[in-house]
Amino acid sequence: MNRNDKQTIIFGLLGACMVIVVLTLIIILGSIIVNGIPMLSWDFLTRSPEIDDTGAQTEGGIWGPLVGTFYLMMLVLGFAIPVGVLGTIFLVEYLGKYSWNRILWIVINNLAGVPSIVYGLLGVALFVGYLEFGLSLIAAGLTLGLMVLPVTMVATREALEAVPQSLRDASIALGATRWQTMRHHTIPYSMSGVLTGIILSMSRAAGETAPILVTGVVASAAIPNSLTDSFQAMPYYIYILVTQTANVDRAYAVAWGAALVLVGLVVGMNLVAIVIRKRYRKKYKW
Amino acid sequence: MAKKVSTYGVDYSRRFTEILVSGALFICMLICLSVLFLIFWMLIGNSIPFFEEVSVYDFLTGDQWNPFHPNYPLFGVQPLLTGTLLVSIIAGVIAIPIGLGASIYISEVADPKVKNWLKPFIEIIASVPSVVLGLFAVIILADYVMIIFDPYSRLNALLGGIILAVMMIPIQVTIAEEAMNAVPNSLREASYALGATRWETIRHAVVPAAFSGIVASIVLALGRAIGETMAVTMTTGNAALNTWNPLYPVLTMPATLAIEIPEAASGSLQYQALFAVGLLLFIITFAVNIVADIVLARYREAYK
Amino acid sequence: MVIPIPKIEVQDLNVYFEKNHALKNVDINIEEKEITAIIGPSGCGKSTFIRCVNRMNDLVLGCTVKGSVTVDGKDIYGKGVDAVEVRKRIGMVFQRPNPFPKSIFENIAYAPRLHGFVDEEGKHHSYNKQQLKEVVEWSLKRAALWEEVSDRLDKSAYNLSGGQQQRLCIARALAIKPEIILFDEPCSALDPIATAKIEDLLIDLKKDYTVLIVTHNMQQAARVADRTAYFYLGELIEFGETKQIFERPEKDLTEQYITGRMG
Repeated sequence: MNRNDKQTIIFGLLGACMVIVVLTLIIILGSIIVNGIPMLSWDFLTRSPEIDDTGAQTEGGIWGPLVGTFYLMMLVLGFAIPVGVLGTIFLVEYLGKYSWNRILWIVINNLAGVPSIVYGLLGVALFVGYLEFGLSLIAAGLTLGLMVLPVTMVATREALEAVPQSLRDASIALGATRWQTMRHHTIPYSMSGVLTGIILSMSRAAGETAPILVTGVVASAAIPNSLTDSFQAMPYYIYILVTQTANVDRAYAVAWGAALVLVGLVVGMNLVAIVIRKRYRKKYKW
Repeated sequence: MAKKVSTYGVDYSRRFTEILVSGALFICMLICLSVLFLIFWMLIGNSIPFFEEVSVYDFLTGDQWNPFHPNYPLFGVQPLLTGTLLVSIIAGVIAIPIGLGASIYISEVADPKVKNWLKPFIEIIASVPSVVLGLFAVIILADYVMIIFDPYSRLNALLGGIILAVMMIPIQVTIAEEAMNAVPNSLREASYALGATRWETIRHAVVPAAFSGIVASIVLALGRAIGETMAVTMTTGNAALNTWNPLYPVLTMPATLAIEIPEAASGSLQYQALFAVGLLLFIITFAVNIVADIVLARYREAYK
Repeated sequence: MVIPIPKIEVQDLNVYFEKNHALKNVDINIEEKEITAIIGPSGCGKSTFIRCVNRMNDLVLGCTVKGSVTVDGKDIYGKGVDAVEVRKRIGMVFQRPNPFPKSIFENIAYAPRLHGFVDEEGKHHSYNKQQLKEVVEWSLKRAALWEEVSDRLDKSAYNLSGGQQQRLCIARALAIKPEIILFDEPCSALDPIATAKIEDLLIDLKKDYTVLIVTHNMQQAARVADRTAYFYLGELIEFGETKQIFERPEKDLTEQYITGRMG
């Protein structure tokens, strides 16, 4: 066999791998779309789950879980993300030159890879138990916040470090203070990266099930009135429908519908992140 | 005109803003760091009382996990470790070769236009929530696994492994592709100039140069597989059987936590045992990530 | 007869990076409205020296500065001196052009907008729109860039050529109305034609400003500088009129460097 034949065969194999990957992904997305679309209706989106003949929540729609997921995202946006972004600014812009900083970031980077259920455990111990929030919206929201904190921090750091030091020097040499330099230069120039990180963190928070499963999500909960109420959430509703419902036909149908909405939400957020990144890359290139 | 007198004195209002802002940022940093270090503290602090009751040796070597037995609760982590490893190995066996082939294809073979579409597509797939993949596996994939492999039960380790492979591939491909992309073009050109074909160039120049990046991509993807909770909880049947047979149901460590934490009374021995499992899981994934970090650091060193 | 007071008086300046002794007992007087060139092989401390004059070294971790740098009779390392106030009065231009990723106008308007100005009675004002435009135009004209960019002030500075970008950076430094401008190898990233333009500009700026320029290019020092200082391994070896340094160096080390036997 000559060299070119060998290459053709190998490239064929590599291409086959690619085709397998793409096909798998298309089949998965396709089945969500095909099975989910028949469920979509105004009622499905705006009515909360209701109990059917067997006592399971398969009637009605997904309003309650949608609202719960929205509340969770808002809690993450309100607590973890600002603290993570601002804290990272201090770590990078004020302390970035210390050598221990690098080791700290190795740890933070690795915490971003710790399984979400371990963050769930932390939430159980810290918020549910120690701070006595009980199984509640606030406990779950803060737990998701813990989970995305390292991710947010790593994304923020990458964005800040992408801004060339020479621009900071230029501003400082013109007599600007550190804060003025950050406000007028470093922060605006790194904004796209930070925003991308924020959106990805929020989409992860929307799709995660494990941490909220142990900190306060309840299948039959009403839309919460306060931060200490229990709540429903989209991914958990899907989980319950698939694993713990007797009326399988109806439950699966609702689960596909809910999955389509959840995937739409998460993928939509990711698309926005990709667009922002592309657009800003054109704007600030050095 | 009078000569300007230089004083260079401090502008106090501006200095005040500066201190205020840096103070606020500093407090945020303290919160971040203390919260991150709480994770170590909480896991260890809640596991210690458990290890006072059950020895570390018994915990690690015990082959039965039945913490809720009313009379004789058993806290052997072996079945959970076996389950986690089995599912991850199945996932790795499927994902690693396919992911490797796909990443080489995207980076080195594919038309740039195709590449521009494939990359965001794969990125988007990586963002699909695991509960949705679990749903797909339980409703659709399980039927095919039943027909083809005739497993002991509808939900089993193989099903979990397959869906985990689907989750691993996008992570692996993204990182490995990046590593190969970072290989300087001059290296490829040097190889072509010596008369090598495209495949020979990939095989002898690009892949060796990006080798540690590729290894890291596999390690990181495996780390994700070990810690994945929902897709596995939904698909593996969750029976602590301590078996290496992929056609049987198994119980993984993350699934144990997800299922049993809501059932354990706060502060009970079961509760503490679950924290011990969490600690073990944390140590394993953290170690895996550190390994990936070291490998990646070496590869960055080589291209400085 | 009036004895000229030096614009910048450096006495017994020592700089350490951690344990590395980067500048050793440097004494030098920089005269007003002259160009002083700092030459020497790389790693000799010439950039470190120039960064002491506007306290940019304060930002480097583990950097300690000892001794005094007196500008207009005031020690800028003295007590109660704010480094930010020092930098407001001294312009600096860097090795590589580093315009902000903003419009040409915004690049120059940035510092004036931040600092405002002080009138004859010592009152502090902010620039209004019209005044800001005037400052931008004045700075661009002074940096010999106005004619090339006057019709596209709102365009990104990144569309300019390297030489134009560097002149934009000079204009940006002029906009803070400094009396001293520091140049840290301003032409090292430029082609010969762009370099010639910058050199012409430097000579023109001398009328109004005290200029310090670090350069690794000896011909450049010979062309533009009134006085030249030669640094080697953190020490000031020789300082004098440029002509004397290049034609009749007093120290062997200087002669070796000038004649190309070292560096």
